[in-house]
Amino acid sequence: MSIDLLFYTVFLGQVLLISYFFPKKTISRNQFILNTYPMDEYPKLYQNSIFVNPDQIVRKAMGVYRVVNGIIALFGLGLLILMATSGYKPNMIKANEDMVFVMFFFLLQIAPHMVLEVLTYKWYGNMRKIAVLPTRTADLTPRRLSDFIPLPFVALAVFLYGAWLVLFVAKVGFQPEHAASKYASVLVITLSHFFLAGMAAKYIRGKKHDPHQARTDQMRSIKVVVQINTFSSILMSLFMIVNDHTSDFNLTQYEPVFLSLFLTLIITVSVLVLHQTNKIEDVDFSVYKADAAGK
Amino acid sequence: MEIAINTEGQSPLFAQLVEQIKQRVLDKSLAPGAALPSIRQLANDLQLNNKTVAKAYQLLERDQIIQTKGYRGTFVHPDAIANCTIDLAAWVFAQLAETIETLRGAGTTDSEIRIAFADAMHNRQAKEN
Repeated sequence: MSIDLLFYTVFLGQVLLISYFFPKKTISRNQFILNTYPMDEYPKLYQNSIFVNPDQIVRKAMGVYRVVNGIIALFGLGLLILMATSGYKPNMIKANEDMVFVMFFFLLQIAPHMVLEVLTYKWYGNMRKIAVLPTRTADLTPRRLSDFIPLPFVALAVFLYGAWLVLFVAKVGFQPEHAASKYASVLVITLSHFFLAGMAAKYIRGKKHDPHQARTDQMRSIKVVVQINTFSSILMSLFMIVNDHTSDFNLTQYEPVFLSLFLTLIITVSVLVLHQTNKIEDVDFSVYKADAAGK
Repeated sequence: MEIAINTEGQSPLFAQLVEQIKQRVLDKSLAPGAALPSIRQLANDLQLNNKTVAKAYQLLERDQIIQTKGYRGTFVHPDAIANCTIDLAAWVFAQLAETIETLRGAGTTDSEIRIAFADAMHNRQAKEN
């Protein structure tokens, strides 16, 4: 298979999965909640100090989310068609230093998802402000990392980060005069790993985002974050190891394929973990009923 | 095993926490040696200040109901069940009641006792600082 055909296939997968298939799943998940757990029966789910008709706002937001993702998907398909018809060869992406566009398109793709995450976070923030819970409960069992992910995966993430660092230093070497430029990526990648680890730790020990959430659901939510962050760390290290050594194996032209594949994989794994670990059917929605006591 | 704190209750939050943990030890849902959540986790779950939970843990540790093993965490003390039956607050109350009776017998007024008690506590705090 030529590099061009491989890139078209992988990039098409990135466009369809991130901007069509996964948003469709998110929308159907939210529509299922809106239709199965309406505001009059589950008022605590919609408690919000900002909006008059919160359920209508969610429906409208889902509509905008669908349209924006559709536009981005069409834009991605347009890019592919333009590339195929204009004679621009994907095997020249690296040579033309156009890698930034693959990354830029990915950032464009995840922008609506990030906005949705921020809005959800704010929604829970408003719920916490309103929720008056005179009786608060807690479990006297400590939450440990091993409750949320098998420790060998964490060990693998740490090992791969260490392996990447060792391989990077072995390849680049210590050159004080170029240290700033060469080691900037080490700083960025290290900070990214710390961010993922810190976020997981915050979820394990931190406050519940949703004040009404049942304990079992809280545990599942933590599991989702911990697993996504660990798998992202593993994938990031693997990608960096591959990316740093493409020239050693004469695979430099494949870098755009690897980047697109890595970005798609990270999102795919995240969505799979979310939908497998935190199935909507398993969520206890009874806590959102008007007469429900905190769990 | 779960505990519940009533923020509108009469007794202070740290005292509720102490009592609930003692209760769990006595009904054996918390066995000696069992691990307890960190101060931060419990404070976040109960939406309390870290200092409130820390104060409850300090009192429980003083009464040898829990023990802190450095960074490994906090555990139920091996003698926790026996130590739970000792009510230090009730003992303090009994000691004070006895002292007050002795002082009254010597002819001191309630105001003099209160002022002397406050002074004694104040002097002790000043010495400690």
